[in-house]
Amino acid sequence: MIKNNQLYIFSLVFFFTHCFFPLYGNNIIKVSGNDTLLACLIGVILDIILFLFSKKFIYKKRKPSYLLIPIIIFFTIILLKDTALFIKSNFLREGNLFYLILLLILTSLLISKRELNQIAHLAFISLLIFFFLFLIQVTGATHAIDTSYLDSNFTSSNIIKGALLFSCYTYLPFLLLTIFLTDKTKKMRKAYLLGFLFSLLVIIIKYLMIGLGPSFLLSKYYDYPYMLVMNKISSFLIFNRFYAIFNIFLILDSTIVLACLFSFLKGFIKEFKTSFN
Amino acid sequence: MKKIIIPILVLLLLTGYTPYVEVNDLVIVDMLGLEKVDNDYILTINTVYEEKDNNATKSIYKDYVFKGKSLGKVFLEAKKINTKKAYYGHLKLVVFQSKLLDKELINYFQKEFKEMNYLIIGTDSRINDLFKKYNSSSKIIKAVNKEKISNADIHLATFEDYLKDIVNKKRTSTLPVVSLNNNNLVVKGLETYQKNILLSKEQAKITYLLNNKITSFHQSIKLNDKYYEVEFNNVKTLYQQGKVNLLMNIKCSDTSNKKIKELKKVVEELFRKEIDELLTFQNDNNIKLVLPSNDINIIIGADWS
Repeated sequence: MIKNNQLYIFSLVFFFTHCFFPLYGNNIIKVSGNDTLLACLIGVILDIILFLFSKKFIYKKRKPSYLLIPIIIFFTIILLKDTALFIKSNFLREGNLFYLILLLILTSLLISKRELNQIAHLAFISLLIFFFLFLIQVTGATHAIDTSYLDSNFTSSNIIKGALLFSCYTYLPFLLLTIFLTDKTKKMRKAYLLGFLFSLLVIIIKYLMIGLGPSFLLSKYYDYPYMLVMNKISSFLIFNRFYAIFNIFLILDSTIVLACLFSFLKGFIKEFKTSFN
Repeated sequence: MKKIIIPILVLLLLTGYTPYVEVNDLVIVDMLGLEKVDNDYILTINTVYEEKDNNATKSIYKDYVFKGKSLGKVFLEAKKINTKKAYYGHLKLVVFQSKLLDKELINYFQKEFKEMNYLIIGTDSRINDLFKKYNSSSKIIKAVNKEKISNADIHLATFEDYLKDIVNKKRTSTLPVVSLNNNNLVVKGLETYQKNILLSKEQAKITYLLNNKITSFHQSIKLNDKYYEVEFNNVKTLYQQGKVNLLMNIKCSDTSNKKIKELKKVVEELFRKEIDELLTFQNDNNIKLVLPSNDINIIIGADWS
């Protein structure tokens, strides 16, 4: 039972740390250009330093303050809008954006009806699916690797800006999650760190695939550069158009994060009701 | 009851996605041809549909031609073909008229077709004639691959590879150009981006070999007034600290082992000469096809089987 809890926390931490990459990954490429990989590596070091400095804060069990409500509402709105935009621009080009936002809200609300523990269980199953599909991706994209385009201009301002952006995209959502998670016993603490590091590793591998495949300078012209990598994956299975079939896993993290955010808001509403009564 | 409301709402929203188009109302585009004649863009679309014929399905290819003053106009007209919607998701090949590719065209294609996995090729023949002779992308690709194996003077790359070279500025972007000659596909050479310089077939071959695009081919080598068909396998170029090492294995079935040594010498001299010519050409024309180097080593092994 305890081991399962560690995996559930691991999964939630993974998805929260990773959720901004598919939607905003191109911002780091636009800022850093050829230095993206260096910027990400320095971003990872920054994240680890931030984690070590804020260990006490992360591992302390606390009651979430009401001041977090506007932050969560803001986070939810931008995540809803950008996930819907992502789905619309890549898969349902002629669809209605509000339709998609409504669908996302309904799906996340349905998942958030459960307690956080059960959402974490769903996150664990999603992580297994994600990991399996990610492995197929990495192996399927290896045929299109070209190291000649991997270069670096070593412009320090680009690297620093990219690293700070990377840190914001990964550390801040993770911090938000840790405020709401209540299981912070010594046995569970490993799961927080491992989930965080595993997510950073997956993001670095994805940036590496972008650099080795379509190259960073070409990816600057695309809003979702990781889709260029997905298009290259001619798998050794019978499917040629991999992304069209397995695209669901691209929005797994957004759906789970949204469900968690609705669940946090639900928790605040319940507390409000009980404090009135 | 409350628990069922949300799934029902989701189902209701999913069953009515209006932009959906039935497969039978789609026209699948197999390849495109774009040319400019008298300031008018001419877009030739080759479409494919399946027809059932005595328990077997046959692919039928048909061409449609659209004319317009601008790219936007011509592609807008091409969105609907015979009241059916054109579907570009299966686009395999785009044929451009020689010297047509410029910044405007590349920007248009980059924005219009988000998936850049289609192959590109140039031609100086009329696209209509080319599509009449080779009425599907697979036929053109097959003919090109035959040339590739025979002479190593052509290699089809995707639009993404072409764009990568333009954006990264490490190498000059090149487009292979073919021509229809006596109803056969003939390789004309390699056309460079913006400068529109046409490289010869031999220069194209060396460019491909030094960029590791082609790893096996065969060629007729002259030795003592006799021609020998030599197979080149495992051709690899390695760049190490300013040195260029071109490695290859050769195989010739109609010679003795003694002759192989002489053949190796002739092959080495031939490649060295061609590489030097290409490096001089690239210097003179200020283009970058291969990494320049003064130290070129050609290492030839032999397959004794």
